[in-house]
Amino acid sequence: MIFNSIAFLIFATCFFLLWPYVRKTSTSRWSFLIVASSVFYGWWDYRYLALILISGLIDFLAAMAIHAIPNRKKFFLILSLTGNLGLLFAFKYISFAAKNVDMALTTFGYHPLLVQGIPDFMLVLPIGISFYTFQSMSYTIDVYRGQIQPTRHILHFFAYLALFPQLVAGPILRAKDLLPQLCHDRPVTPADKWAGLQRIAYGYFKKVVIADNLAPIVAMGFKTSPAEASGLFWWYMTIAFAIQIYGDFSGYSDIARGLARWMGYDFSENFNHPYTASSLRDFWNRWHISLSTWFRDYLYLPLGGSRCGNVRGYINLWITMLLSGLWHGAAWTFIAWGVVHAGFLTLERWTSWPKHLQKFPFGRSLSTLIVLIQVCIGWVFFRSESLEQAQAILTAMLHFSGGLSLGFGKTIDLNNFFITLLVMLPIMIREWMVYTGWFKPSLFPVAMIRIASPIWIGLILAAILYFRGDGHEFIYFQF
Amino acid sequence: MNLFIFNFKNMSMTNIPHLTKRFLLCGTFICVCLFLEDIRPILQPHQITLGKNPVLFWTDKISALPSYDILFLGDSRTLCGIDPIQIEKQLPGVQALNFAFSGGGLNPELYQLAQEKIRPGPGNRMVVLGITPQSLTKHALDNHHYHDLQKKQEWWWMRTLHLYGLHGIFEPFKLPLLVNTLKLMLSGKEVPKSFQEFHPGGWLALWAIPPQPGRNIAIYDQKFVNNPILPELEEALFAQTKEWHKKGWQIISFRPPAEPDLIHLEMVKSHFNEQKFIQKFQEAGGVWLNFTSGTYHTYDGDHLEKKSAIQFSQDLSRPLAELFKEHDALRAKN
Repeated sequence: MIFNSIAFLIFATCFFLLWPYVRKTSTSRWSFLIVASSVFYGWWDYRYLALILISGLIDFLAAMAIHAIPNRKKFFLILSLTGNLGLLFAFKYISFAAKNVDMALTTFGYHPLLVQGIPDFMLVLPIGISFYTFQSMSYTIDVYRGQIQPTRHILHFFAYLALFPQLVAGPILRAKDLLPQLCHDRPVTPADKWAGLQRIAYGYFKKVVIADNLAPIVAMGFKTSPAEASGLFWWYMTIAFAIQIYGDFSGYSDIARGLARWMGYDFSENFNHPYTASSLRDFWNRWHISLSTWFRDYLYLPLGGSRCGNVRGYINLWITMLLSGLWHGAAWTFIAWGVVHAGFLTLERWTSWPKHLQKFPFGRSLSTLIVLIQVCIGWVFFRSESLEQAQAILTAMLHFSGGLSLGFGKTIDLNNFFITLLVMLPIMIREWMVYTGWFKPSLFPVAMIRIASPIWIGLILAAILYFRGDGHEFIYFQF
Repeated sequence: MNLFIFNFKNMSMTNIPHLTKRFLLCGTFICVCLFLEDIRPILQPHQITLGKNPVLFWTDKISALPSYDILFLGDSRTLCGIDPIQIEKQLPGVQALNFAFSGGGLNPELYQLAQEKIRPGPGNRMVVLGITPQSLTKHALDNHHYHDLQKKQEWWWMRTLHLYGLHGIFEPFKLPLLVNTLKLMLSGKEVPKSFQEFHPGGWLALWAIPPQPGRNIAIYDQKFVNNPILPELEEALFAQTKEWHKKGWQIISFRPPAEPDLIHLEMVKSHFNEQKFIQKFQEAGGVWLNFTSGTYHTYDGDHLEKKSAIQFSQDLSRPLAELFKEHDALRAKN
């Protein structure tokens, strides 16, 4: 079920009508959350609920075992990680791995055709598998580290794992943050309802007005043969995609946070104006925060981080970024995306160029611009169908082929150019205002802001209704 | 915009009465919706739908009962060009249905479906085929439009049928059309309006203000690239004509009128040999009727506009009525 569907509207209405009655006791609350989340997920394909169940059972039992038999805790942790990563590999990477092994062996004259041996059900990527697997794994690791006590109630654990607002596209929640919240019947105050409504309204606006209106134009743009379009055209398309993916993903996170707020829970922030970052490191502190902190806490730091010398630090950085790329999808383009970010981060750490640059006048702005260019170069790999396409697009972008011509009339006409500009404008202005600190609440009387706020939300809701694009799935569902 | 960028965390709304907040929110929302609905015809005048509920129109057509004496088959030119009411006026008591679909073909699947709409039992029956080169091509063989309508699930039909009015109200503005309208308005040009009117009997009437008779001509330059006329479809049509003719049905064919430039381009690009087709069709027992294209006005070069469609339907009805009556008389004699 996707948030931008009639089915979800009906589902959410039913859920929030029943929620005040069922949340009173822990068992009824957890049971209801599990049933509702199962309906939410099973709407896509109920058979894949078994995967969440298996993944959850592995971690629930492993955490209990770690707690009960501390001297064998490493064994149980390895067991849990093997189970989770095994499932992830089987359903997400097996086809990619088999294709590449086939290709490699073909060059040596063997034709094993491993791809043909993969059962059909494993060729379908279960929605959100990377999200819930990582969330489940973090629970076991936290128990292993002694940072949290394992829950003894299986319903409590599954309510945490399968909570529907974040189940399929995050944010990836930590057990230490969510498990305690699920234990209590926290009353939902009018302020919570209001804050939730705002989040949901902004989230839908970003998704259905911005991302969904950009999606067909970006898709049309990326179908263009790279040689046929100018470098400027590709810069424009890449920027449009950068805004689309931001609107799409942060929109989802906002809706998830808003829904959680209505339920009385608090999810951590997943995006913090990433395009205002003045270094790539800063970008990663602002983009998909729950994933980057997951990789930091469960991979980069355990590997030694930057504490074991420079070379080791760089190696750890590369491992983390490569795996982060691979987490996004089983394709070389995603790995290349990770490589590009690892390369830029290495350069940044080695030279500390943002720090030096910011000493000069306009240094911060220039630094932000350079980061944006780096991020856009990364997005080319992320969006391209193949490495060849990405390479050709980048060649056109970096050589500025075609000069100042945007190459209209081939796939994108002048109308579409204006539409993309119009649609991108709210996010661009918003990021610019945050960046410059232009908007200060103290500039306006509080009473005025309080009155204007519901009017503003009313306008946003009307914009969602009347300027929504064609419904598309959220991009991050595929991860 | 200012508020959109601001983090509301520090701005507690609790000291504004909830009723006031709700009133402000709902009031703004309703006012904006009413305003946008009011200016919709100005900002989005591109396609205005009139007449019968479109969902009912298509469901009635697809699930029509076998109660018709005269059936019109063909593609969108027949769909938009033939008003079956005109023939019913000429032949009181006779039931006629326009069973044509957009991009639809003349192929065995459609013949079978058409046959199921004809009234069983004794009596005179007539099948009228609107022949265009497009309807005999590879793409038309897919009967895309028909299958699209058929594939839609029951709940979709129910939802669209019962909530159609609501759906129309909250239909989103199409941004490309909106930008185009604003551009035309700013340059002082007239914003084109298109109308589609769904009629009982399966006729879809189209017209535009101002008329754009040249709009679709350029499409025909590429329409038959990798999409040739299939000889087997022509043969199937002749075979079907023979079969129906044997049953005692009358099979009539004609070429639906369009802009002469478009017809010329279509003939050149499709390599359709009309003379040969007519000859073979007549040998199979069919009757071919000729109409001059230039005498009717089109909506987009391709399809007749409403008034011309009525005129053409009347012009077509006269010979059809004569043929029908002649055949009736002959049957009575035998």
